[in-house]
Amino acid sequence: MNPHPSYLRLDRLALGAHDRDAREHVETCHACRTHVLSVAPAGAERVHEVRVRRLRAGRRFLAVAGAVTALAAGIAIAFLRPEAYVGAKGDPAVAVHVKRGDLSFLWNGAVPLVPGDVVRVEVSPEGRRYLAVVGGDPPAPLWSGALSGHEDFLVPGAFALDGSPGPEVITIALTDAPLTADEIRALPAAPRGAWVTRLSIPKAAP
Amino acid sequence: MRGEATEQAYRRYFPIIRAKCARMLGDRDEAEDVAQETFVRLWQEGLAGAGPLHVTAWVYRTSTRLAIDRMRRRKVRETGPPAGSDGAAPDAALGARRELERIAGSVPDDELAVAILTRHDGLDQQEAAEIVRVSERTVRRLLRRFDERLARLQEETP
Repeated sequence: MNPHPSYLRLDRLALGAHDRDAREHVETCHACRTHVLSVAPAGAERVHEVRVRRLRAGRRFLAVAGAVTALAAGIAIAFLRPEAYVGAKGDPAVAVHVKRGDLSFLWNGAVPLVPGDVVRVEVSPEGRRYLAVVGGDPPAPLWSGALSGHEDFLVPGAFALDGSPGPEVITIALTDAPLTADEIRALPAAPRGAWVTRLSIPKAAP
Repeated sequence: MRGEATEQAYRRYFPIIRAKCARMLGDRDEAEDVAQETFVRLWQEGLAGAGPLHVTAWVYRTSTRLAIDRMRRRKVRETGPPAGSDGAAPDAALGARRELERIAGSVPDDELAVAILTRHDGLDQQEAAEIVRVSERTVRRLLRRFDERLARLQEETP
């Protein structure tokens, strides 16, 4: 019996379909992960130093129930996992899920999003125990809390992009100890040992 | 705006279509042609905004049919390098593809389609049934006939 998911399942996964078994398989199978990354829209896997845009926080950190539900149904596997190509294994990874009308896709780290897009962040903490997410202008805490350590984590809430100019910036910090409120406000500056990435999401004109 | 939408659909779906065609066809140019034709049809059908389950089912069904047509239109010939992105197709996969090309003219479409989907794309019978829109029982029957036909053809081959 073939131990691998079919190409059909892998392709659906690459497009954002929810398939927990296939997703778990891909996490541990180099061949299947290579296929998924090779067909994932616009090479999302290559992004780490992501240059995306700024969520003008607070008011944009919306718990949009409908969008969250829709995005949850469209969770994809293709984390922005640079170690799939370069670098050491074990680094955390971040995926940005985008919901545009009926279309759900993974942000590829380069393509501009548009006002009205609803964004949701998922992290693969790789053992880090605490997560803090900061966004907006001026930057403000959007979410912080404890994680299970190894399971992928979909950050609660969705971010709806507005039409304001400039990129939406989201800073994500994974740590082994909880950050204080001051430390979270100071991100992307972070304590020793923290894993921090800054997403700068370009935004196209509406 | 239409150009942007086309480009977005192309970025989203074409890598999957191209990989699927490369698995079926041994010739890189031919695989690219069939992939392009599949994408054009997808766009013309207005499926670019549909959900991934629906689109992938359609892509697998349509590209398989187009690839079978392409196999039938040509004579058996030596193929070029494998059409995979890195040219590193496993021997077994390459051998199976050559075998498929060799017998394409002697096997009915529906048998060939389920054989491609299960033997090349690794679909199980339930998935193959979804793609070709028949029952799993029919898939099993088509595969049995395909194997019997293949065995006869191999016996007849000098």
